[in-house]
Amino acid sequence: MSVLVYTESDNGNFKKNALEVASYASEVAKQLGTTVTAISINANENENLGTYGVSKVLNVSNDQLKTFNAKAYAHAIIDAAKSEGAKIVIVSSSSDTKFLAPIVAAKLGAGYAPNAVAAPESSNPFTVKRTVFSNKGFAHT
Amino acid sequence: MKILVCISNVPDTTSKINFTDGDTKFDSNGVQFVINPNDEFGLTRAMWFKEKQGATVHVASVGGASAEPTIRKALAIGADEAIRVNAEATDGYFVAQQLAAVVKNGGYDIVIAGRESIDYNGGMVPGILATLLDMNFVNTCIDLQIDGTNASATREIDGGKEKIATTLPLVIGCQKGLVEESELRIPNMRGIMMARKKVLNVIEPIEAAMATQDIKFDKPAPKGAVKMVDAANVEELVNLLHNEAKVI
Repeated sequence: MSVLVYTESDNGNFKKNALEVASYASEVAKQLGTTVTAISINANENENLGTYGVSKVLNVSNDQLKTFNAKAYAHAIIDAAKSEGAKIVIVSSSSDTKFLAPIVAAKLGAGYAPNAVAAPESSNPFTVKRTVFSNKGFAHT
Repeated sequence: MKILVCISNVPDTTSKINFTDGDTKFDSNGVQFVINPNDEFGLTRAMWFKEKQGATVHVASVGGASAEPTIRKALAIGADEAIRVNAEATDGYFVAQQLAAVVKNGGYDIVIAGRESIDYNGGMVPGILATLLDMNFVNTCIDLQIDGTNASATREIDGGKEKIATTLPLVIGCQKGLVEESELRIPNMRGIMMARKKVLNVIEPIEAAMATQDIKFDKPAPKGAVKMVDAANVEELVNLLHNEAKVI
């Protein structure tokens, strides 16, 4: 079982948030005593993710996925999560990932904790701190 | 065209946020509840479809009896009928399952929900709802046009906008921009009186599991006093940023 992280790219280049979530996933994996697998779509220089704690990269190269399509991207992530046996999928909070994350969660029958702001507090039950009430409070979910 | 607008009953944006029961629950004492602002943009757009294209507009909310004044406000704005699923809205996955059952029974062409509620900021209900119903889905929607069974939508993306062509049935996750703030409607006396006579069906929830649970809440630490650092003392500045503020 590894932690799966979706590393977003734009025109083949990783977005800044991709590297942030890779680092976050690395911290989560360390807590759980496992490794991080990244899924990227049409990205170049995937080997750079190793610097951020990623030990394996699944890069989907498909011309039909050159522009963002929430359903298709979600399916790629779902397939990766299943093939890797991932129990935790980490995504950024960009507009595109907030579009696809609920689809991924619903298809996997998984819980979804958006707006996480800290490393997990416990792994069983998996508990993470996130912002609520428009940043006027925090929930430990 | 039959439209369902999903309404969340949320604390007014100016509310002070406090927690109770050992910080395990939101303290609703003295808090005024309103229609979730993102939902209100959707409701206003639905009213436009009602007036210009003859749509029927229903509203649905998952919540206890305390949510009824907010639902009645939606009816006063002009919705034709309302449905309240008689259950506490504890988790987005649970809420989406309840709303999916409402949509299946109602045969709606368009489901409009705010992209997120301003209380628990889950941002998941429209997406999960669309997935459960296998309907087309556009999130962060800021423009919606319907022509027969074809829809043209614009969604906000990081640093721009994206135009999408799709078909009904469709789930929309909407936000500010779908209509202008100046177009939001305040119920008039006639609307309020008529809303009293409109149908508000209360239905019992279907059996559905929760996927997450908020076990504890807390508030951000109060802002500390401003610390002045001498312009020449870079070492002290770096020390404070690194060890106290922990931002570098």
